[in-house]
Amino acid sequence: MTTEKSTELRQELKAQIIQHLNLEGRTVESIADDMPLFDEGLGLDSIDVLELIVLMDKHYGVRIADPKQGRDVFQSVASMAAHIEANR
Amino acid sequence: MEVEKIPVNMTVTLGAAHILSPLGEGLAASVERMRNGGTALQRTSTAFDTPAVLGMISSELLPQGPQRIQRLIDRCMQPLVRELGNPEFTDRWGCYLATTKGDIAALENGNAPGAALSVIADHVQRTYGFTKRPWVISNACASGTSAIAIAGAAIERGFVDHAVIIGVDVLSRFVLRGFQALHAVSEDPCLPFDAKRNGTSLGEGCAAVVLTKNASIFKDPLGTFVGGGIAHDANHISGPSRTGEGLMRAIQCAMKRSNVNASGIHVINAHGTGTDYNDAMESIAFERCALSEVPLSGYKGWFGHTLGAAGVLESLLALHALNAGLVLRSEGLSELGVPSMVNVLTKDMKIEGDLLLKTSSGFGGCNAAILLRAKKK
Amino acid sequence: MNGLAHTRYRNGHFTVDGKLFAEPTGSPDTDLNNAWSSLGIELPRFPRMDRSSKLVAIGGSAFFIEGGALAGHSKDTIGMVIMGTHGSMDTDLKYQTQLDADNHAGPGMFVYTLPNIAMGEFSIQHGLHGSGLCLLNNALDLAQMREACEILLHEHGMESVICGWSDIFADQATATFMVVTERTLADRNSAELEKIFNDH
Repeated sequence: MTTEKSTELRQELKAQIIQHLNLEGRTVESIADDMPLFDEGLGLDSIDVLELIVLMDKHYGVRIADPKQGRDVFQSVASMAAHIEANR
Repeated sequence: MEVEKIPVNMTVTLGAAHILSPLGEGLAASVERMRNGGTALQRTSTAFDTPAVLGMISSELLPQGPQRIQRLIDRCMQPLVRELGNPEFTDRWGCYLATTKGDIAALENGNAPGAALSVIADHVQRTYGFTKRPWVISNACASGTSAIAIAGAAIERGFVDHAVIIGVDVLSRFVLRGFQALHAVSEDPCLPFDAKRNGTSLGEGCAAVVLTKNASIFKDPLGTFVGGGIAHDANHISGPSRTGEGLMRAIQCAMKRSNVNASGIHVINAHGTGTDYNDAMESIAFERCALSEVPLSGYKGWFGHTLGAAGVLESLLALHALNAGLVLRSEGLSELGVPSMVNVLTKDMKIEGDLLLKTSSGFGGCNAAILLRAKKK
Repeated sequence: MNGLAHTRYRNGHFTVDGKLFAEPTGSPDTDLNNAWSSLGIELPRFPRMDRSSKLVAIGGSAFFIEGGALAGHSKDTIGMVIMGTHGSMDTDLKYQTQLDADNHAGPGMFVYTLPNIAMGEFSIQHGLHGSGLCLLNNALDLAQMREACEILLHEHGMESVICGWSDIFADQATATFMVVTERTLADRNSAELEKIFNDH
């Protein structure tokens, strides 16, 4: 995937995360590519992982069978994008 | 203020218990079924629009169709009322209902108002003539145990002399699909406390029992209520406290209330859903309460997680077994796989003691614990 | 403070101890957000909660701000009794509708489909480990509410109980919360408490 498309994917992901998870007040600009999504960073939790798994499947056709695997994939927007790029 | 001790001149007695669950009908028959058989959980792909392992009440005992939860309650209440000699439920009688979703089928069929949990109270009040408005306690999966704790306390405080407790919930697509979305149900029968556990199994049931300050209303009392407690994890709405905070406090409150310490507890009937986090949390809480050695079982391996019914159903089964000097095994356990030391039974065991600790934990971080004393034969 | 610490929310009209904190705008969701903002409490989680949880947060959080009835109190001995009619029905209906329309069960939505989750969210927000009861009834039943509070105070070791009526469904939202202690229940009769619950 080209760098341009890669950037586009990451921006798209940020917008979807904000919308899908109801992160009111958050802007796409405020989420860095490698910002930790859990705990300190964006403060997401285990239920959010499940929602992101649904998001991956519905929007990108990428399935994650085991939520435990999810924690690695959802470390950051960068890792999410990488997983999509690798598995689409 | 300090948790008060029970007034010495009051004993709260349990009796007139009636249950209907995937094990069948009646307390004695159900305990026999547990002693002589394995799980009543069944694999199905036709009950709902998704394959699942479920604890289902047979359709001979409870046909599918409208008003199923109301009919389920009646199947337990009618024999209960008969056993008591058809009393008039004056204002000295309390009624404490425990349910998580009530008549959820009404919502599924487009009738949202019909699914309000107070509709269950309406049914019970109207059908059985309770003067006092029945309580509907909805503390998630800790509802049933909470209801017993509250009913016992209500009698001790003198608000009522007798209390009818009904724990009930039915299976539904609403709940099953939700639990599946949370990855909280196993594709196989649940394995409480087991190293290979990977989720719970849902079930349904109703358990009704009477508490009273006047044991003479029973021909055959089941035991006594000694004390209870409720406490919150304050951690996460669907994940338990990793340190068992709320459960530990609920147990401690029940113990203080009962004037009992850890060494006085002989048997534990735990919540044991078969999920990774719940069973781990419970083991931590029990160890923190110095209860590691106490024979412990979870019953959900037999009939699944019956939600609002669980606390009442499991308490009654455990108490009935204890009356016969038995602790039944924790069905589904092969190899213990929890972080803290607990004495989970893989075989039925004879036991001398008579004090049972029942615990339940639920979404919202709600935990409840009660102490019941068996009436040994 | 003379009177009983209490808050009232009536479709966007929000008062704390009788003092106006927020006014209705005509949009139920905006009203909830405005009432919350009026308390000046930082809680990133707030927008992510369901409406029932938001209403309980609004109804009960005022007691914990500086000068509030429970500010500085031990978190171990504050009980909760929350009564309502619709429980989680506001979210239940959304969840069922989505299930029917898309055959999709959203995990983030499903976790809110229990009446006591609002109480759970509240306990997390304020670190409350005490006893709590979520009660459902077709109307405010003050006798039942009193008994519940007394049980938590006398049998479960609570020093105070946040008790409230909280009900939200479609475009109707009503909440009345108060802090009661042994003293409160001894000193005030039901008529006085009823007035706080029923007054607009």
